[in-house]
Amino acid sequence: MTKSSIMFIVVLGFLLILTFFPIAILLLLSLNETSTLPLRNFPTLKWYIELLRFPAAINAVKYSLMVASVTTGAAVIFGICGGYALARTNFAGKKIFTGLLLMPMVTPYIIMGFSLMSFLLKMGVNPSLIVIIIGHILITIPYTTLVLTSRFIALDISLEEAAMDLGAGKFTTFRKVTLPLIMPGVAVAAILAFIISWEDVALAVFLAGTEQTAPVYIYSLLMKLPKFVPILTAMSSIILSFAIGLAFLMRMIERISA
Amino acid sequence: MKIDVELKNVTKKFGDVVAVSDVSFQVEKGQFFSLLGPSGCGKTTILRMISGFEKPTEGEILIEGEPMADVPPFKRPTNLVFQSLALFPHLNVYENIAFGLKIKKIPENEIKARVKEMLDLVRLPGYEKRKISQLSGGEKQRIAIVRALVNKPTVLLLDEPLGPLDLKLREEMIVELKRIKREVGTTFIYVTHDQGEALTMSDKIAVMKAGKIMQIGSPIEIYEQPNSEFVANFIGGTNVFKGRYENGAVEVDNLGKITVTPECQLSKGSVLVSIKPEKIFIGRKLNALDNIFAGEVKEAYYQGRVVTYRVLLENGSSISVVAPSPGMEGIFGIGEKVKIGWNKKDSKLIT
Amino acid sequence: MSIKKSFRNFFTAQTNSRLKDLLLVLPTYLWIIIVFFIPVFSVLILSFAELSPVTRTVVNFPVLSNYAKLFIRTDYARLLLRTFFIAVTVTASSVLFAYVVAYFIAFRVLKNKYTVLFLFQAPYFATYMLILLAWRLMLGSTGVINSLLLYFGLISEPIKLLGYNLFSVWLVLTATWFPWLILPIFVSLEKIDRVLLEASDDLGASPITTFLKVTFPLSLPGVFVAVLFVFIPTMGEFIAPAVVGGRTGILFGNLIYDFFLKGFRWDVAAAFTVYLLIITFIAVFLLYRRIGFRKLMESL
Ligand SMILES: Nc1ncnc2c1ncn2[C@@H]1O[C@H](COP(=O)(O)OP(=O)(O)OP(=O)(O)O)[C@@H](O)[C@H]1O
Ligand SMILES: [Mg+2]
Repeated sequence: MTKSSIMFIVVLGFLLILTFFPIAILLLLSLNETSTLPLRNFPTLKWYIELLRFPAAINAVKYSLMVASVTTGAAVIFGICGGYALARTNFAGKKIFTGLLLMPMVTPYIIMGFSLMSFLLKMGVNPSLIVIIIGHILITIPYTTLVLTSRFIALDISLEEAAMDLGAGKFTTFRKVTLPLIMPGVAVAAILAFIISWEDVALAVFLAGTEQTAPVYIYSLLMKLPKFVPILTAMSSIILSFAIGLAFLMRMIERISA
Repeated sequence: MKIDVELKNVTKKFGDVVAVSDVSFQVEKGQFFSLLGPSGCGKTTILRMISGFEKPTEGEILIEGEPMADVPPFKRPTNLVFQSLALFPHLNVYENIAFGLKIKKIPENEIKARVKEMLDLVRLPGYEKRKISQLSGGEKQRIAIVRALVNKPTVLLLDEPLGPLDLKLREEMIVELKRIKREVGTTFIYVTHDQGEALTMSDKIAVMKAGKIMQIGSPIEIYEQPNSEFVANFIGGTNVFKGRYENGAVEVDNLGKITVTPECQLSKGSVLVSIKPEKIFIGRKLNALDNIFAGEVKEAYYQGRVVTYRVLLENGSSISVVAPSPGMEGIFGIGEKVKIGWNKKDSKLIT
Repeated sequence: MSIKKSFRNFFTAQTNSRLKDLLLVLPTYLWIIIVFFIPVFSVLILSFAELSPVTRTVVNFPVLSNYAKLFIRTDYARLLLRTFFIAVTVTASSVLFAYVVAYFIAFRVLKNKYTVLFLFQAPYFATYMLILLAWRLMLGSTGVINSLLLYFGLISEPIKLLGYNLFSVWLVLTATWFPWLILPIFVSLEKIDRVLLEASDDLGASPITTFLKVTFPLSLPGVFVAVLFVFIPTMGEFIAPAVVGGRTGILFGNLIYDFFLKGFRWDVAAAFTVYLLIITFIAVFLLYRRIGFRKLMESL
């Protein structure tokens, strides 16, 4: 093994620790009497039992899943339409559209959050889960559209022409040939959209009303009532178990579509 | 004779690129019609216009006498075998072949019967459940052909369907295609850049160059009576000499006088003479030929059944000769003095 | 006559289908315009208005007083500068880390490249907020890191730098951002033709020369995408500073958020948002000119 390889492995190990150690500590401390070291009365399920007295925490995870699911569904449909149009047609104003599409991708969430919420409040719309979904669709559309555009481009156009040649109209061609073949791309786009929505706190913090998504709930409890941190550590395990499931699902789909 | 497909002065431009320029031809019912030309000459573009994927910039396309200008691809009585085959990877063999029939809402048991009939036709019975990825190149080819044929199109369009196959498989598929054609009797329009394929299979060949049709005719006409240097060269290579015609002979610089058949009478002037290499005899002594020249063998390629020679003639011209191998006098070595010659009926004048 | 002709041309099949295809992107168009452009535009207008702090009605329009706030209060201006500084340093450090990982995976890992890549991407799923919470427990004078160091006797009193401060904000942002940046850099490294590198070695270039003269320039598109991905969000970051920044670590985004939420000074928040928007525009413009749309797409 060369000197440079050893150096690489050391750096990589350090970065892996930087990435995973905090999460491991979080899980560890969720089983501890306090959320600081040293360990006391370890392991204890005390905070998990306490968590049951915080239905808002459980609900937050539920809301998160709900928001992410609806967002994903909508963003994927927008993405399929937009991706198909970008890859396969020459619609009027294509250049303008691509420019427009990139805007939400390169704008800090705080700008979108503040703009959207101040605008909606002026219009008499109050923050709510629906508003979060509206915002999340905005930030996920560019990703789903771009992912699907590249998948549509990669799809051999003569397959679609072959379907038409065999008598299928535009819609039948899409349903019977294009869509089934683009399905792995749809799955990748869906998971990407789900993660973005599931992850988001900066935008949702502006848009959330009394029903908060999990990240917003953690953020606001941490800011307002820091003494409840142990509850949050217990809540984290729930989120993490979803996360691990999701991660494996993503990996599997990537494998299949590769 | 009934005309199935007719192109009238069709031109296709992609922006500034003229892919097809003022092309007209007619394809009779039941004919095996080939479009032959080098890569990029517009063959695929013509097929795509006939099947409706491209609209002619100018001109008109008629199928069975009907103008096709406003008919979308899925309503045309044509089916295309794609250059890339375009078999649906997510469907099995049966579903691929049945695709068009299902869209036409044909009853399931009839579909089954027709798919089976088609698989028998291409000698792949029992292949229904196979995935496309489990087929060999030649099998894919045949499935692609019957997927189109099963719909009983008025015209079957084939875009270099044998392109990616190796030589051996290709020869087998040529035989196969001829048999299929004979059995179904459908009109075929076949695109290829391989003159061998075109000559073997076609009733009629259109030779193309840079978007234009150079000559249309039967394989024999195209081969024996090329109307241009391009066609003569493209169909199997030839010796072309430039000269001036006068009284049944052509005076060629660096060569001398070449006698030609009187019936290809032309007005006096500058002409091209083409002599196919396999019509030229080579030997130490030659007589009873209309044109005989002496020269020296410069190159000799042994090719099994034949030998190809390049002979430098005494007057400075060079000519290629394809002779049977071994000939009566054996195979000539490089540097050997020889005579070459041919009959005046084999001196073809081209304009 | 020519008008008549162009009128007819307008309704040819070609134009017709171009308009019909437009229907496919119409929902996205409308969404981006209604949810993004109109609100941002309304903020732009709001930034020139003076609102009454009590009734929140417009008392003066148009005014520049909201913009002037940045220059009147030097601590606001300093906050903006500090944010820019943090954004630049976080960008530099996280791109560097990501580059090291991407380089290692692309050139040194021979088997299971994508599994290693995936390992680094796994934290996405844990959610950003949860990782911030974890760092909150790691840092601080009684945090896990200080406790461990004290326990092992490596230090005799807590390290101040690992408290809740600006350094921690840098550290946490770098640690949470670099995994996101591995992929675009990895993609551009993978695309480099290995023959080029061999050729360079063959011509007698040292590994470092090969890297500087061949590998790095060819990976620049991925690096630019990564820079774009991290710089812009960091300019607007306000969550991490609130969680681990303590008193000294807050950034410009926290100011905007507070003006929006607590101070009810939407007009000032709007003006500050516009400042942020301008900086974003400049950054995007500079980088977009170098990478273009296609590169951005390829690295997704
Ligand atoms: N969609 C298009 N846009 C622009 N130019 C095109 C398009 N399709 C074809 N062309 C051009 O038109 C010309 C003819 O192309 P075509 O595909 O018909 O050639 P071909 O004879 O089928 O060649 P090959 O034997 O290589 O398949 C080429 O110069 C090609 O570059
Ligand atoms: Mg072609």
